[in-house]
Formats: sequence, structure tokens, C-alpha cells
Amino acid sequence: MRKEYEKIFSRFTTIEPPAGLLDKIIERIRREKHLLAVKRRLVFISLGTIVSLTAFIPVFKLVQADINQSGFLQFLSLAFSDFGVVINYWQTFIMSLLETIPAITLAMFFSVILVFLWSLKLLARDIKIVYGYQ
Amino acid sequence: MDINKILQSKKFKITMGIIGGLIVLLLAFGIGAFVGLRRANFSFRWAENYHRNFGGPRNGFFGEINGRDFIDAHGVFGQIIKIDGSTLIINGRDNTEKIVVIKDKTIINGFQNNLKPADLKVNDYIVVIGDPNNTGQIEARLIRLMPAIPMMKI
Repeated sequence: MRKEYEKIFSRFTTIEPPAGLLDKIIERIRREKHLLAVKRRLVFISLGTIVSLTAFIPVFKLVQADINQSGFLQFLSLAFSDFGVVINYWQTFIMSLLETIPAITLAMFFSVILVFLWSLKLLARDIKIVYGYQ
Repeated sequence: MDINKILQSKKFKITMGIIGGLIVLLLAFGIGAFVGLRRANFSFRWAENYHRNFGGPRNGFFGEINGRDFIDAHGVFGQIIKIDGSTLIINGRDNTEKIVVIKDKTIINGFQNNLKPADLKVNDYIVVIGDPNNTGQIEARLIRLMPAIPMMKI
């Protein structure tokens, strides 16, 4: 009985999987995992972009108010209107600028810009990756 | 133009680096100024209480300046509220009055030409840069007449 079965099965041609199939499957799993990670990251980056974009206007208004209040622009304008005098008394001029510069609000403003540009860069990169896979 | 290319370019990275550096610089300066202000405030309070303890006025010699920053020493922008010879009293930011002394070497510039001290009028808006003296006045190096800014909150 067993020999008969062996005879029957010996007539079938054995099908071998194509060469490199395992590697392709592993590669596909790796890519899917990567894609999932990128999509998750995309959510956080989008959030960062939206938050920084939303924060831009109030922080800009804050900087504008601080600059107007401190008179920083008026001192800075001397560099254009009275350049020669400013060069002669550059130390006094620099001190007057430093005394009026709204450093913390400017740092906040630049931080918002930095976060926005950084998240935009990552967003563009990740969108390209996602569309590249598709 | 490919935005992605721009965002991944070296120039973009350099720009980001410059902005980052600027933030660090501003933060360091801001924190330094804050710490300096705290120390100066402490020294000021210490001196105030010292005098009060030895029979000075009840509110101290300098009155109350709670909640107000220390005033700028090297310049002022504001409106002339009084002219007394070569001395100007300026209403600066936060309604702080500052005394500006015009010296012989002080340069006074109008919109188009050089001015004399006599050309300055009460209610004129001016920007002054100068050095503080021992009596709490600013010895002006440059006075620039500015157009009145109606929206300005001094």
C-alpha cells in the first residue's frame, strides 16, 4: 500500500519556492514595519507643525509689542540714519541695543520658527517615504 | 522647484543652525540679564534696608520700585517733557523720567540736518544714546529727533 502511494507521488513534479522568496518576505515585513513607524511619527510631526504654526501669530504679536514698548527699533534705526556717529560710539550704541532687546520673547519667537521649519522638513521627508512605498 | 530638496539641502541645515545658535545666544543673554537683575535687586533692597535700619526714611531712599525693571543706562527713547538749559527730561518707556545732559560734543540730528540744542522743543520725540554719569543722568552722545508715533505706548 505504501509503495503504491510512493509510486503515485513520484509522478508529480515537486514545486520549489522561487529563489530569494524568504528574503523578499523578510524585506517586505521590514518595510511594512518601517512604514507603520513612519506613519506614527507623521502624526506627531503633523501635530508639531500645527502647534508651531498656531503659536506663530500670538508669539509674533508678543515680540512686536515688546519691541514697540522697549524702543529697540528706534535705537536700531540709528544704525541706518546716523551710521557714522554710531560707528564712533559703537560701544554705547551696542549697550543701548542690549538694554532694550527683548531677548526672551525673541528666543521664544525663533524657537517657534525653528520647531516649524524642523517639523516641516521631517514632514516632507516622511510624506515622501510614505508615497514612495505606495 | 522641489520643496523637499530645499528642506533637505545643506543651506537649509545651515539656516536652522543659525536660528538655533541665535536662540541659545538670546536665552543665555536673557537668563544672564535676569540673574543680574535679581542680584542688583537684592543689593538694592539690602542697601535700602541698611539705611532704614540706621534711621533713613520709612520707604527707603529710593521709594518703591516693586514690579518694575531697572532702567536702561545707555539710552532713552521718549518725549521731551521739560528743557532746562542743557538738561532734558525725557518721559521714557513705562513712564520713567530720565535726565539727559547735552554736552559740547553731543551731536543732535534732525530729519535732514544737524540741530542745535535750542532747536529741541517740549513734546518732541527723541532717541538718545549716551553714557550714564555718577549722578544718574545720561550724558548724550547722539540725539536723534524722531517723528511722533501715535500708536506708541511709552
